[in-house]
Amino acid sequence: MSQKAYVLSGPLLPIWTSAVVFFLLAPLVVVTLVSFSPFDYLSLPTTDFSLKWYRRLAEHPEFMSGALHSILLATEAACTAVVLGTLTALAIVRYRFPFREMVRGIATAPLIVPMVMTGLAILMMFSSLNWFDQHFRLYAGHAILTLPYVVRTVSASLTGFDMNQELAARNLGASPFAAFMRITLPQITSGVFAGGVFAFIVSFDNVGLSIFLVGAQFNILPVELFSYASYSNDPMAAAVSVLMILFSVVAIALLEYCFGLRRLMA
Amino acid sequence: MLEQPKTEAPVPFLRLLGLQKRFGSTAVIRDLSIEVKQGEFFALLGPSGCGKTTTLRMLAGFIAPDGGTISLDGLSIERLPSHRRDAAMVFQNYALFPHMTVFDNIAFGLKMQKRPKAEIIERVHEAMRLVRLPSYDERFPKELSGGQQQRVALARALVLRPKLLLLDEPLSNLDANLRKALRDEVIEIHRVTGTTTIFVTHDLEEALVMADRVAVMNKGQVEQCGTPQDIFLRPATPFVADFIGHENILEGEVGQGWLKKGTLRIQVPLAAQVKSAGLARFAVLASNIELSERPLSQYDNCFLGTITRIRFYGGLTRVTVKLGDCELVAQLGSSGLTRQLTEGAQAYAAWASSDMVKINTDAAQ
Amino acid sequence: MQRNSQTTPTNLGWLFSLPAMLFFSAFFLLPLGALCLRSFFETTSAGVWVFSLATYKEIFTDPYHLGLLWRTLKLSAMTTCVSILLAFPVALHLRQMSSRTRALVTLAVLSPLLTSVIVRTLAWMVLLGPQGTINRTLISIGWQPYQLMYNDFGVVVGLTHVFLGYMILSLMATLDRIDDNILLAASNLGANRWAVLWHVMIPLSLPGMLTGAVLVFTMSASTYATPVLLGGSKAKVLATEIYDLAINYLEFGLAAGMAVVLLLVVALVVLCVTRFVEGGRRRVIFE
Repeated sequence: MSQKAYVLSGPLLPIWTSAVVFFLLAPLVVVTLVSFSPFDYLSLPTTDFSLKWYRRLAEHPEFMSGALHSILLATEAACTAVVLGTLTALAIVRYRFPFREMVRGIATAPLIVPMVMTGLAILMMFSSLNWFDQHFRLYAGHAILTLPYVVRTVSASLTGFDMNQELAARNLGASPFAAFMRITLPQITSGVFAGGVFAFIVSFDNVGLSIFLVGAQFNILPVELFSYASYSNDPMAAAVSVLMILFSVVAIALLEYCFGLRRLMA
Repeated sequence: MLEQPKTEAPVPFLRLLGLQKRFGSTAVIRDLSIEVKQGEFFALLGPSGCGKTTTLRMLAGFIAPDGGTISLDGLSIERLPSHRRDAAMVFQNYALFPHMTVFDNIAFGLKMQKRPKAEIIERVHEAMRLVRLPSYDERFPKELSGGQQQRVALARALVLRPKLLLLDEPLSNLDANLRKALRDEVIEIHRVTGTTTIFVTHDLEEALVMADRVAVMNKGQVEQCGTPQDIFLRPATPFVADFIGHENILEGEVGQGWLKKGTLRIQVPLAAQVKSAGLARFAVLASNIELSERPLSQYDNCFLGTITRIRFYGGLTRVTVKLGDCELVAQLGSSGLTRQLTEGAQAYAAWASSDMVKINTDAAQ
Repeated sequence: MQRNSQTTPTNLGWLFSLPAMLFFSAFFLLPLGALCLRSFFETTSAGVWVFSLATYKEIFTDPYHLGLLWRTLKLSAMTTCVSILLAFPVALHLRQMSSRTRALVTLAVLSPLLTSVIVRTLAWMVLLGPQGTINRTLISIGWQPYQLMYNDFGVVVGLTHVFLGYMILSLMATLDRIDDNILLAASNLGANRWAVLWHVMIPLSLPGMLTGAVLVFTMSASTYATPVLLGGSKAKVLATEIYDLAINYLEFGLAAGMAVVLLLVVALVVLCVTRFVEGGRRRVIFE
């Protein structure tokens, strides 16, 4: 991206941007600090930093199991979303068929339909079928929720890809399948991978849809945290939050390192 | 109506003095000085990267020079922001406002000057007539062809009756036929309005046809500044000669009225200043060389040679002839006579000594 | 795009989209359809399902429910407006930054989006609570504490924080696409900074602004966690009510109805605003 020639100079813009960035990041910094508070109520640590809230996590097995469940669920949902979503993106971008727009619409609908509505709908259907498998219904909901992200990133990769390359490969003797596997697929891998990581993160962080579908046998971390925060006022929630943030940071760093965040957001 | 009153000013109307600009560690413009008279159509000509567009943008106020001054009609403008100079620019890609109609686009500058509504309507329509734009007031830029967009861009600048009109390769995005037609129109508009115009191009023919004076630029400096005839017939530096496209360059020992190259003794104009005996370079235009099977006595330079290559270009034919140990290219009309020439045959190449151009061997002063 | 689609093997298109469509039919379309249907039925005392609009009648006549609807729309609208206001200058600035600063700032803006909504909402609870960081600071310098949470203010702040990144992204994408030369041309023709902003930059960024606004509005209207934690019982919205009705009161019919109303009202608002903006774009220069 070349440097723009039309530039608005002066201190106003930098000040504003700094303020907004501060607004966006400060709460997260505050949460991190609070998690080290030696006091029993929500406060900033003044002189002493304490790890007691992190140690006390061991006394709350629900966070541990919640975390494991979240990771498991996110993996399942992301894998499903990647497989189904990549195929769908291929169909939408590369082939003309009747109802193509409808397929595109359905695949992106979960982004538009309120999460509470989707969650409620799935709950109602499973209940009326007397099917109370919490894990499975959460899996279904998360797969639905995350598929649009995969479709979006893979579509972007595909539309940016020059089909002529594949045609050239075929002209030089490769079968359509071989041309796809050797020429197209390696180049859209970044889109597929990015979609997968987004799907994982969206699933891992989700609350709005999950609250309808969790239960005693299968609860997930964000909802556990939500419950805890609803009735407790101590820094434990902050400690859990910090760990969740760390988890996301690692994921983002992985993305940035492998593929460059800017390219994916385009 | 749109003509500017002509005043005899002792200071040139537009003067660039010692302009400098660096981007990072590269000096893009070094010590550039140009003077333009009021009402002149002045071309900045050169290869890409020579700094002509940068110069134009400095005139427009988009780039601040690192050193030097620009004065327009007596006012020093190099520190003024673009919206306060009176130098309207027409961009290469037109830069029309896509969300405004043709009328609003043209009226924009007048609205910025807070002119009364009636005046704006009148002047916009006047400008549209000047650039021969049909009544497309309510259309949007994306509905117009390239040529029409070009006219809107011109009208938008001209409607302000600016002191200086800046044209950034305005014709390069058009196809060949349209380019020629618009070229004539731009010349006509300039004749009618008399606006001082700076015109940037890399196209030699365009500059020669349209401009009153041309500055040939190279690596951020002016190699030669003069009328099209000056540039073409009396190139001041090797770069200019090369840029003009002089191909038949003969270098050799000189004396009074002659040049010796290999076995050839070539007549050169006596008037060409030869400092003393030594080496010099002369060139002759391909179009000034005639070929024939017989010797042509009316030319004082006539030599027998062998045709090594013939290329047919439609209206022209270019023939390469080997004379002694040098090769010259002759450009001939594709007449019946020309078509009789064959590769490998012998022919006489002839030209007048007065058509020889001396090429300076020193770099730009 | 022509160069990316093949016209002959259309059956491959069907084939590739089939797995996802089957999955969606079973777990998305069917449940949603059933939900919509359910909202139009209720059981009589005899245990029979009859078609009735009682649910919708209750929603639209009960002042409590209408109040919920109103508050949901109000808070979403406020969040959207604040987001636009905060995001626009940032997007302007991002446009002209050097690539390195730009990458850094983009990262800073986007990373909150990749943390859970609960984490972000929690952070604001820490800051805005009656004994939160802000109030403690105010007390320590001698001022009185403010009610920053359990009210509309807290919810809007929380929602803005959650969704601002999307707005910045949207605006950034649009502003970047504005041809530099157009801005230079406007400046050259006599427009100062503010004139260029008003006459050129803002009109040309309206599409992106609209996309971002639609995104933020719809997401704000459907969020659960933030209004619950930051609004408490004082600032209930449709999403919280739907959850309550379904999970705590097992009133699935009413919950379903509210969900449908939420979807329709949000869609309606988005449609109207889109029409309005598209229609207002053909302005003559004299107004």
